[in-house]
Amino acid sequence: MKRRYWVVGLLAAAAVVVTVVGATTTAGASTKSHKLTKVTLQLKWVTQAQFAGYYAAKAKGYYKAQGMDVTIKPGGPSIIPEQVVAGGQAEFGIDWLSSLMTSRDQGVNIVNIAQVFNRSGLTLISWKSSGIDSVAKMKNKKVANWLGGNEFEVFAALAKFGMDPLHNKGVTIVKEPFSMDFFIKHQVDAASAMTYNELAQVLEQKNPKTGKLYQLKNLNVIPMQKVGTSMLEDGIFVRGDWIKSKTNQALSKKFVAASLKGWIWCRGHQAACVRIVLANGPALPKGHQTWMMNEINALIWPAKLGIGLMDPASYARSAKIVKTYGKLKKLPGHDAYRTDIAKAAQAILKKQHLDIYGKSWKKAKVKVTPGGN
Amino acid sequence: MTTAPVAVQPIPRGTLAGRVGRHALDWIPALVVLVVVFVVWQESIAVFHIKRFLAPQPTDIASTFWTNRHELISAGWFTFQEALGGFAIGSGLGLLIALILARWRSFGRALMPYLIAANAIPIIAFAPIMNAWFDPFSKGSKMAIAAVLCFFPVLVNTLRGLTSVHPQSIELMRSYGAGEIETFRRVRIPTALPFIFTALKIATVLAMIGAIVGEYFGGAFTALGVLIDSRSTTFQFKEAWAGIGVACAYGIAFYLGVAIVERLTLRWVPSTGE
Repeated sequence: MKRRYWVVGLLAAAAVVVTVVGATTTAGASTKSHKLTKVTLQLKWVTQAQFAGYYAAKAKGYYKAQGMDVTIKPGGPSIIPEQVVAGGQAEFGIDWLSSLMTSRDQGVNIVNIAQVFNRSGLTLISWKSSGIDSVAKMKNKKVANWLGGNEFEVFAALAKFGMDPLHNKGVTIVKEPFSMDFFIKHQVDAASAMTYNELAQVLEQKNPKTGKLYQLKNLNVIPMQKVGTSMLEDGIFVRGDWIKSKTNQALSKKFVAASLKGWIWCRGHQAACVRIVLANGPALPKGHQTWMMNEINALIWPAKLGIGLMDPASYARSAKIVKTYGKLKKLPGHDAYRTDIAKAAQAILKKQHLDIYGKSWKKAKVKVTPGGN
Repeated sequence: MTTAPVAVQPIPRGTLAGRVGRHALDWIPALVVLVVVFVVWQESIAVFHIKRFLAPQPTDIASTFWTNRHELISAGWFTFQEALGGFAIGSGLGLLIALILARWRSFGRALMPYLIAANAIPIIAFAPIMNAWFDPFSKGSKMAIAAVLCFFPVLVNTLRGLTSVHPQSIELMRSYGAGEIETFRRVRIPTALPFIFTALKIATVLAMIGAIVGEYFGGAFTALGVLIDSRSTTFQFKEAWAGIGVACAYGIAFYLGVAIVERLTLRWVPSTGE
């Protein structure tokens, strides 16, 4: 018995040492940059080129130049950025506009201050051999989506062709896992895929019949943008009560300006921007991030209103879709976002003679690599 | 003497109503605790201005349940079938293998340390892998998770029960010239039954956990785990809580089902009345 106490004591002592060492190292870090305002950004998903602009802004010192020390927190399947920001563990959050709308409907006071992506990256994919080359042909088929607020565009598309996905009628909805194995194994008829992520995950696999990678010509890719049920995705949001203070408004303008500058840099330096993302330890390798960077740029550029500014028409379309398929109590109004922060940020960037529109930007040809390596 | 002596009279068992009444009295403390918990929960959210979306009041959850009762109950039934299937497969295999290992002891002794080690593995971590091995949208993949979760505790407990027989009982059976099968039937299995039922009761809970958590990683739209997961990521916490309530109800019913079978089977063991 005595020996057991001794072991417990040792473990407790070890725990204390670890805590103390941990505390002193963090204290050391904070004194080094005491002049900078510390803020935290909560991402929607794991570290990847989807968030390249923010990582670039940090790596290139754009945040520092605006007097900020930004901690970027990666997300994951069980991390809901709205909850993190509403709970005060981060000042800024990145998520789809639809998530912001469903959260607000439940009484969470958060506000979009910059809409970074102005096109939807969501597609429905199927195998060419299945003959399902339109949403209409998905009737009575098995269609996968991640759900949890990511399903609205797909549900609206299915409903447009007479199916009732909310009640699982006319179509069978299944919850999509976070890997595309099930699609490769033909366990569904159609699956949701982001142009920048899951689509590439399929193309990075070898076709056992040919021994070569799957090709785009093996797939039907139906973008929600083409079906007419696209919604706005990644945007920057903050707490509604937090942004009321003038200090926080000034801080937000600087944060958004630096972030957008990061995105502008990634537009002109795709390869270098991918290297920055890779330095931050993404789950998927270089080839995959290179594909993603290119596709993400395509969701931003060209930016008709200039990067970061909300397009009211796209907002209204998104609001209507979320109202129906997110079963909201009321239609999200225009109080869910403000444009003054983004406009001020754009003004800062224009002063630096930066191109906030990227009219001449063209998608690069990215070669798919096996396994995304 | 026209009446039998007092000592010979049957012990008064009381009327049915009396027995129900006595049982009701036994339940009063537990009921009081339940009511107090709900009242404190309900009131503290109002008093401390806890944000409704973070922790909804029990009355809100109840009314949400009522509005969505058809969807919730059928989702629960879907998931319960997965749990039940996994429970049957996992516990059945566990019982069978325990019998084999108890019959051939040296085999059992060689495997026991690994079985105990396997029992300590947080098997739920395998849930996403099971989804990759089997069709993630079928009931089969969830049954597989539930079955693996049930298998080890049932196996380990049954084996322990089968082998914790008094040596004298075995000697007695030997002196009667009883064979292995007879010894198992008359001595080992009856001794093991309380162990087995304890394991089965644990397995009911594990099977529900396995099915629900398995669904978090992919599954049918109509499954309870999928419903709880997607509602809680869209801030619909009342719906998520109502779903959790339904999961609890199915889990408790499952547990009670096994407990009733236990009471009917083990009437001679005094402790099962608890």
